[in-house]
Amino acid sequence: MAKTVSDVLSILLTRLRADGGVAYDNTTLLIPLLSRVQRTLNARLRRVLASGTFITSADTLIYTIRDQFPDAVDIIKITSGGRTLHKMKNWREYADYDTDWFKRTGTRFESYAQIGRDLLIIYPALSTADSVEITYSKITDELTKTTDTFELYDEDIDLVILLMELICLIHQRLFVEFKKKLPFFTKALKNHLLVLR
Amino acid sequence: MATFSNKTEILNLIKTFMHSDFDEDSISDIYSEVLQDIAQSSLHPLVDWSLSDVVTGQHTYPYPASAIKILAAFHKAKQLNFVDVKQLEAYSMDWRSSVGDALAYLQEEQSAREIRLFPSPAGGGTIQDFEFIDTTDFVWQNTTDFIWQQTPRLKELAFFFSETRDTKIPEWAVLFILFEILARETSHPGEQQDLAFAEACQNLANLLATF
Repeated sequence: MAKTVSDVLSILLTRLRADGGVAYDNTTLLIPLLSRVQRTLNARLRRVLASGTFITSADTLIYTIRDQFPDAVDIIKITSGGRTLHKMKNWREYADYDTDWFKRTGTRFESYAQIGRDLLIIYPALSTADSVEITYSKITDELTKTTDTFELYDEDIDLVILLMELICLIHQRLFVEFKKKLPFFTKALKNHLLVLR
Repeated sequence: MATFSNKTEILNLIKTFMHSDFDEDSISDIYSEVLQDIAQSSLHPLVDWSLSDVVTGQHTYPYPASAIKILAAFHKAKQLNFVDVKQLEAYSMDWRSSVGDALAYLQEEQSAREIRLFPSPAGGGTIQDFEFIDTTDFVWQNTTDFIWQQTPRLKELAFFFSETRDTKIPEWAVLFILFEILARETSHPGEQQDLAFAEACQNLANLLATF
């Protein structure tokens, strides 16, 4: 069952020995930070995904992703007519074999690449408007109250708590405790990323 | 908290960590510094692209206002090679007077915030073989079953660039920016200096930089 903000706050405050939230304000500090922690972690872990139809324009192969999907972080997969497009490791590969790549048109899409996390190339351009299906890791929904549930899976919530602990220890100026806790987080993060391979 | 954050939100977040030692001017300067560093980095820089008109005989063109680093430039959709003055001088000492369709670009003076096309665009008043469609000029009409566009404006020069921003800061970058600013602000001499705090913030920022 998905963890609620309340579940996580309870564990966090116990670890920080601040039961009752005396040192922290849930509404103005902890819940907004939890929301950002979940979003930050999902950008790295790519656990929470979403999908939708991305509209392409005629004779165009460059798009600003946020114009159509403002909650997208990384594009995980693109399909067109049931075919999965090849994901280029680096958009600069296009120029390696064709300096005119930016004006190539074809009869079907072949590949895609992201430039940073803002721009998307879908290659080649088609001469008519079309669409593709995209799957992407998303900016998770905002957490605003204690009854809200996390979108990250239960097995990733330990990372949320560890990162929140680190942030709260900095906030409290407890640097010895921070130094002790930091390796736990880096080790846990590494382990969580290994699972994906 | 929407999908994007902005400079004001980040500065407010910093206040909750700095307590009473908040110097708004200094923090604002460091914010710009951190965003510029992100734009220079190879890990998830904030990027955008823009289009410009090319004028016959005009060889220099300004950077887009927010640009920090040009990642690629295109003329008539051909990707231009990045070259330096020495390479062009090796080609011809008279390279500045070359005219034709641009094949390369260079930055003669970094501070000028402009690129120079080589050769200088010839133009000629004829319809070009390819021009970019400026989608920002589209009027999108959404009917029940299709989307159509109206009267696109055509452009010849395109840039991909990394940039600095005060708005549309992606949420996944906010914590990194927050702790990087806190580390820098509390590490320099002054009333706000707190080296242990700065070190902890820097450690966390370094970790979040890879996200």
